[in-house]
Amino acid sequence: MKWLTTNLLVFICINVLVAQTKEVKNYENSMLKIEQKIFMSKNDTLKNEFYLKKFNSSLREKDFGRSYFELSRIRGRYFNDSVALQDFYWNAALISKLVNKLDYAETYYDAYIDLTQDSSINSQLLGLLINAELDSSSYNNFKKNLTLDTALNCLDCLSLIPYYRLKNKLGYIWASRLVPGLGTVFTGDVYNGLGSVITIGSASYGVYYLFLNKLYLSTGIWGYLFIPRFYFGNIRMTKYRLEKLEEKRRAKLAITCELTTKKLLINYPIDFRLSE
Amino acid sequence: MNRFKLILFCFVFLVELKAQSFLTDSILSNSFEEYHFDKYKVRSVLNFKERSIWNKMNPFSYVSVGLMFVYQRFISQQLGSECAFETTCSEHAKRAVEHYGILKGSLIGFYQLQSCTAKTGYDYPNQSINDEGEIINPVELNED
Amino acid sequence: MKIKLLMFFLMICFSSYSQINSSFIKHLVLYDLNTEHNSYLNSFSDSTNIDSLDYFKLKFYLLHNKYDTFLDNVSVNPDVLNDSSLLDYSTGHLLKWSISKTKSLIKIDSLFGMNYLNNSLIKKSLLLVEDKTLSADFLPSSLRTHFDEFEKTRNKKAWVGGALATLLPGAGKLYIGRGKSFLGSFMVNIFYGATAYESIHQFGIRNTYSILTTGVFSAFYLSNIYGTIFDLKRIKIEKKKHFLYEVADYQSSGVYLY
Repeated sequence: MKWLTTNLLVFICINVLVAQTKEVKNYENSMLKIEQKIFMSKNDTLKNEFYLKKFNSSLREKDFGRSYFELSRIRGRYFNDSVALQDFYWNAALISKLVNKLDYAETYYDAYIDLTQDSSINSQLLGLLINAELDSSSYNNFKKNLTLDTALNCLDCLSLIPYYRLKNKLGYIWASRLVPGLGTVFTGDVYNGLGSVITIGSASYGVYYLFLNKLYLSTGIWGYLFIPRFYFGNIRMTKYRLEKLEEKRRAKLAITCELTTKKLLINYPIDFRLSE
Repeated sequence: MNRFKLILFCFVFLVELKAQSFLTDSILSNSFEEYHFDKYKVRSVLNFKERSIWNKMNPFSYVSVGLMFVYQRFISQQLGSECAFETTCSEHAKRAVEHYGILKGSLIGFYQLQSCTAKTGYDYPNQSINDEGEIINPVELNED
Repeated sequence: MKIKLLMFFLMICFSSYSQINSSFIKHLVLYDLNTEHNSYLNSFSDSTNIDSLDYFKLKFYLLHNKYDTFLDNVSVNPDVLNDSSLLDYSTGHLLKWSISKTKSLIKIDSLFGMNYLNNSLIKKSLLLVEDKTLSADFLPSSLRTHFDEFEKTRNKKAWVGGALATLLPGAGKLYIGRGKSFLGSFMVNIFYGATAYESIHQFGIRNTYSILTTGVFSAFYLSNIYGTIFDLKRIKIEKKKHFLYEVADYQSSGVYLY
């Protein structure tokens, strides 16, 4: 009996693996067959139906790149069924967002809202996600035009993160200009700040030592070659460190926003609308 | 046997759970991926795979590449200079030492250093310039 | 049982008579449906006797820049070498990718095909870049300027560049064709030479600072000489590739696969 159950379990596992590889092949074959039907059909409405079929098949297989490609072939005016059109607009908005074509995502989402007047939290959440990435004015317009559910108020962070800037950047740069390395130390990079102090200090001392030994040509040449490079390099490094600090703080804000968004997506999931 | 069945059940359950949360993860990564903080790029230290045993045993090669590592790690950030070439002069020198040996490699490195000016790009054909306007200058001479 | 056997034979017959629809393939190429194109070609199994399957597969490999697979299949199925436009297209694109692969295609054509590429512009150009004695009269005027540039560089001597670099640091760069960076090289050598001279004059040669400055100056000076010789080889390869690239562009302009 034990031997039978073990072998049965192994057989099931192997079948699951084989089925997965077969699924990929079946998907490719089905896409090819639909394309052959598209090629043979003369009617635009029929062609549109087949384009939609291909689009939905690629969504089921989570092949987003291909889905977006098939989406560009579909025309809304050839739809006879309004439910199918609604689902198409919803899927189109979602897939356009996933492939970062936000202008198209906004257009499809607006078309969906015009058709359905959907005020569910899921729909509002998708709208927020699309408009937040476009720019702050479209996000604010979106919030004004719809009465948002209170659960979505915590998502204002989506529009604020891209515009986060560090304050008093000039202060850091002026600190580096007056005392080489000081601005870098203030950004948190103590070692490089100290390194700036050491390099400029030792270069200056070296040039001064050459001057004391009456090597005026060498003083001029080494001084011209090294001291300005280290000095301006120190300022450039402060600017670079400031950018990295800004990125780091923005990433921290993004993490908290991501967790908030994740909780909302678990409670109000957004998914493709595919008819079986 | 019961333990095996329990492990198999947990595995199948986790696989199913992962499949359901795929779209949520895709939406989140699409919205927040650009804000992930990347650390500073780590440069390779040494790669003597294609060289002879003499080059691998030569201590001067290791000393020169070690000095280059110290320069790249501590001093080059202080200079903050922008290079006309795709690979920086220190990286080019390192690769030249790895490919041709210590003497030829350092001479090639110094040659690139003195060639690096603002107008150097005009000396190269369009195929040798990348999209960012930097000169593609590989160490190996590929005749093919 | 007899009916089943009959059905079985009918199935085999139908499968062996299925033909590739070339207008469907054009439709797939027009809409850039690469995966469907690949699936369509793979749907015809190797056991079915279709002459044009290899031909369409080779076109598919060329379209998607799978040149290695293309060459492997051409050597196995040399009958496809009867299409002159396919050969023109393939040589034009292969030359931009690899000179040696283009030569192997020309060899395959001469051994197994109609030897169509024997008098082609690309073959003549490949011979021209290797043999200085050949005349370039067959080249059209648009390609002649690129060839003249290559010819000028080909005739330059490494020892002349090295000698010029020895006499005047940076002069070798002017000779080999890297004139824009002459000033940088010249100034660097002058600066370090001046510091080395001053330190030797002040402290003598046995001082640490003198040794350091002399070492730095000699490194830049010697690298200027060796670099000129090394860079000339690189320039010759660059000019050759540039000329052959222009030839490939000229050859493949107006030639389409589908």
